[in-house]
This record gives sequence, structure tokens and C-alpha cells, in this order.
Amino acid sequence: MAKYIVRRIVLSILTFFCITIIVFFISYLAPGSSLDYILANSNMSPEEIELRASQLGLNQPVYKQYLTWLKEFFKGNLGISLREYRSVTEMIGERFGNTLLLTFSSLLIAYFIAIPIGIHSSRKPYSIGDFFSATAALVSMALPGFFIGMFMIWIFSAKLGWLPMGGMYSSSAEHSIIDLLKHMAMPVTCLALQQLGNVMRQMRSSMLEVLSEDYVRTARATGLSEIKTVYIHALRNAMGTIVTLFGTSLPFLVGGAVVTEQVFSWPGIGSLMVTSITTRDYPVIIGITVVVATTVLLGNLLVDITYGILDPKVKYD
Amino acid sequence: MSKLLEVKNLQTCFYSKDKRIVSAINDVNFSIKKGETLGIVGESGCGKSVTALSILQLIQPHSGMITQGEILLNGQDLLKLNEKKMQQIRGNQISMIFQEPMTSLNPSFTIGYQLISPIRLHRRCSRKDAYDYAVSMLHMVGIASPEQRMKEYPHQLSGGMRQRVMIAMALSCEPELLIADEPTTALDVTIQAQILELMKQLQRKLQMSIILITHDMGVVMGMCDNIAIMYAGNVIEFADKYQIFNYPKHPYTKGLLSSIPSLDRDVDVLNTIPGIVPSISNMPSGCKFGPRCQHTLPICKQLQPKSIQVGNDHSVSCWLYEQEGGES
Repeated sequence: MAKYIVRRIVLSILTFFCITIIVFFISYLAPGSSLDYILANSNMSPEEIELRASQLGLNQPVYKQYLTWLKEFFKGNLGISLREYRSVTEMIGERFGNTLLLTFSSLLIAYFIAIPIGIHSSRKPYSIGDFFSATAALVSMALPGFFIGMFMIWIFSAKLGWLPMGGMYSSSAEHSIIDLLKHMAMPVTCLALQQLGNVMRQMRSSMLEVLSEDYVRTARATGLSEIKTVYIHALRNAMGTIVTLFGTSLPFLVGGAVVTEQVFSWPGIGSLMVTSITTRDYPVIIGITVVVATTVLLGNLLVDITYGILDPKVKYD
Repeated sequence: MSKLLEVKNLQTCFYSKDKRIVSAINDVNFSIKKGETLGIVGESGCGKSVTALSILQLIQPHSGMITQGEILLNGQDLLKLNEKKMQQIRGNQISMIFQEPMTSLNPSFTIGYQLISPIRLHRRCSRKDAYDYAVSMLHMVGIASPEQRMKEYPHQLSGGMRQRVMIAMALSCEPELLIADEPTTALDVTIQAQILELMKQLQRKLQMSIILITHDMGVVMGMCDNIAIMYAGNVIEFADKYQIFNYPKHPYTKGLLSSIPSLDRDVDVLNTIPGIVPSISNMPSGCKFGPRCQHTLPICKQLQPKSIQVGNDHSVSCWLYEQEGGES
């Protein structure tokens, strides 16, 4: 096990370097530099811009820029935003919590609702309940997030006036939990709805397979109640799918829901990404991409270790 | 000796793909006394396993159901019990071991967990007592270093060992009846003999009855007191093993026995029964064995024969004996 983990970590580090190189060079190759943007949008003279560029090291060869960036990265410094002239680390840091709050609670809600429904449909396949859950899942998977979001804003904010349209706190009131929850309600529901369907269907198919296994029959034959058979003996074996699914939703967890954050003007990583792309703020784009990639690498490592706990047959070497 | 289990007119139906209802077993009758071993013999797909699963009511509600009959355990009709009462019987009064030891144990739980859980379910005892008891059960079924095995997962054990674990699990609550659904089919011959010997030993020790489902006539001869021959969802002949082996009545039973290869005779081609088992969705009218039978009478194509007594505790469902049956 230890040997396997070490090998995985070494591989992850290699992958990390590959990612940084690719991200860095792609943004270098992208047409239109951030300097053009500044030039078009401000009244700075070309000389001033030249000065700024040399201050930021933008006129150095790209590999040197990369090495400088890498050196700074290990000091925890992701560079300076070209738009705000602030540390990228700081900018990501202050939005990281907001995004995690939003995405994590929506994931939690989605799994909490979808897993029992998926299990229920698998226990009575092709029943009316299964039919309804399949339809609901289809709707959930087919509707785009921005549509659900705007529809909800239209109903709950514009028509009924129950919930605030966007943001994280009301500007007038003091920052309270109640206020935060009110602001979270719609974006979280919107995100949860988008994921429900997939989790539900995956759970159903995985459980359906497990329920026809011989050992489930054995569990029933020992006199175990149906609930215990399903939720202890079968679920443990069906959990692998859910762990995989959770692993694949990690980038979302950290990278934020770009569209949904934008719709609800949630001050998270996703909306920062969108603003940075439109303003060609490359250091921020690179910073976010690298942070997300690193978390995904860590997440996959965790998922692989969890497999080993769930399925004793997984061998680590 | 009193009858422990009596199955009367049992019929179990399944839903076919086009939503039709087809019966997998029909009018199944047999009984078993305390301490006795009953063999249920028949070809694949004749309803042996369905019969066993019906007794324990393990047919899944979305795939099929028991539509008729009575299953009397010590005179009490199991089909009238609710699910909760049935759970107290499963694994406790009636246990079952399955054909596939490789897949019948849950791969995600230790042997110990899977052994202790039914003990704790049916006997009120502490975790420690259940553990000790489980270890002693493993010891009883002949597993070396049981403490070590308790910590292991099914994939670390061989097929024979897993079947021993299954037996230990099934016997842990000292059931009155053990249903063994082809317990040795998936094992190699030497292990087969060991497992069967073990079952016999434990039967004597625990005074339990066994229903042994198999298609191996040799196993039946070695293990059973009575034999029920099944064909296409019916018990077509029921008698003690000497009657069956020496005086088989039904043409199908005769066919089965003559298809056992003999060591004394040197033959080029083994005896077989011509034709194949009809599928449950496409049963012939009248006697279901009719199309493969060499002695068909006109009535065989029209009516299904009823079970008739042709001797002491020897019943057969065949028109050939209708006359004799009436007399005796």
C-alpha cells in the first residue's frame, strides 16, 4: 500500500509539471496579449506600457517567464493580476471559500437526495416510481444550468420576491447566516438539480447490478431484513460507482460552477475565471487552472485509496 | 416420525418479457420428515431451484410470485406469514446453501462479519459470544486456523473453503431444515465428496433434515432417503431411493437411470433421452414429457396426469399407471 501511494504521488507530481507547462504555453500562444487590452482600454502611452511589461517580466523569453513563475509558485505566489495589480493567490484565496461553500453544499444535497431515489428505483425496476425518477433524471440532465437559474430568478425573485437575485450578502443588512442562506438557496438548488439526474441514474444501474448478485440472495436467506440487505450488503458493493462519480465532480467542486456563479453573480472562482478570460488576465487564468488541476490530482489519489477500502480485492502493486 | 415440511400444490409464476405470466413450477407436492434427506432431481430448468427459493419465499416480487399452494413447516403455513415472521424463519429454522460458492459470499465483508451477522440476528448474544461461536462453527466445518480466516475476505479463500463457510453460516443457528441447492456442482470431485460427507456428519450431529437439490444421480444415491424427480415444473415421481433405483415407474425416471454410464459395460454411445426440455413459456399440452416419451397413449396429449399411488409411499404422475393406481 505504502509503495503504491508513493508511486502515485511521484506520478502526480510529474503530471502536475506537465499541466503547468501546457497551461502556461497555451496562454502564451493565445492571440491577443493582455497588454493590447490595457492599451485599448486606458489612456496609457506606449512607453508606459513598455515599462509595465518589463516590470511584469512580459518581455522576457517564454521559458524564462515560466521558470520565474514556477519559482514563485513554490513560494505560494501565483503572480500579479494584470487587471487589478493584486496578488493572484490573494484573489483566488478570498473566493475559494465562497466557491467551496456553494459547490460542496450542492453536491451534498444532490447525493443525499439522489442516492436513496436511485436505490429505490433499482429495487423496483420498471415500476411507476422508477419511470418517474427516470423522467426526472432526464429533465435534470437535459436542462442547462443557466436556464434553470434564470427561470428560478424569474419566479422566486422577480415574481414572488422571496429570494435575492444574486450575490452573497445583502449590501444593506449585516452579514448574518440567515442572509447567507437566503442568497445560497437558489444557486445551490440550481447546481444540485443539474447533478441529481446523473447520480440517480448511476446509482440505479450500479445497484441494479449488485442486487442480482448471489451474495445478496445469501444475505436474504440468512433472514436479514430487506432494508439491511440493501443498505448494508448491496450498497457497500455499489458504492464504487459513487466514489468514481464524486471523483469526477472534484474539478467542479474547486473550479466552481462557472455558468451558475455568473448567473447568480456569486463571488466565487467560476465568476473570477469568466471575468479574467474576458479581460485577458492571463496570470489569474493560469493560477485558477493550476489550482484546480492540483486539487483534481489530489482528489484522484484519494479516490484510488478509497477504492482499496471499499473493495478488498483491489491490489496496490 | 412426523412430517417437518410439507409442500402441497405449490405453483410459482414468473412474469415473462412480454408481460405474460408463466408458471415455472406447477402443482408440486412432497414432504420431508425430521432427520431425513430428500433429493430433488431433474434437468436444468425443471424448477428445482425455484422450488427451493419458493420455500424460503426468496422469489423477488418484481420477477415472480407464488400463486398457489401451501408450505407447511411443523404444520404452520409459511405462505400465510408476513415478511417479518418469514425473516425469523430464514437462516434460523430453514437455511439454504447455494450452488455458487464463488459468488455467494459478499466480497466486501470479512468472513467473520458474514458469519457473526446471522448469529446475532437470530440469537440474543454478545458480540464476543457470537465471535466465539462463529470460530467454533468454522472449526466444525473443518477450516484450519479459523481465527485467521475470520479476518479474511472471500476472495482469499478457495471454492471448497468458501462452500464450507457457507455451510457454517447456514448451520450456525441449528436449522431444522437445510436446503442445499446443488452445493457441490461448482466444486471438483474430491472436494465434492468432502463437502457431502461433512453435510452428512453435521446432519447426524444436529438432527436436521436436508433437501438436496442436484442432477447428479450418484450424489443422490449416497445421500438421500427419498427422491423427488422433477420434470418441467412438476414432481413426476416420488419414492424412497431403493424404489426409484430398483423399480422406477415413470418413463422419464427410467430414462434418467439408464443414462447413467456404467463402469461394467463397454459402450460406444451413452444412453440419452431424445428431445429437449420444453421452455416454460411454450409447454406442450397434456403430459409435459409426452413429446419425448416412447410410450405415449392417446390421452397423454390431452390431459396432464395426476399423481397416483403405485405402492407404499411411491407416487407417480403418468397415464401408464392410472389403471394400477386405481386398484392399489
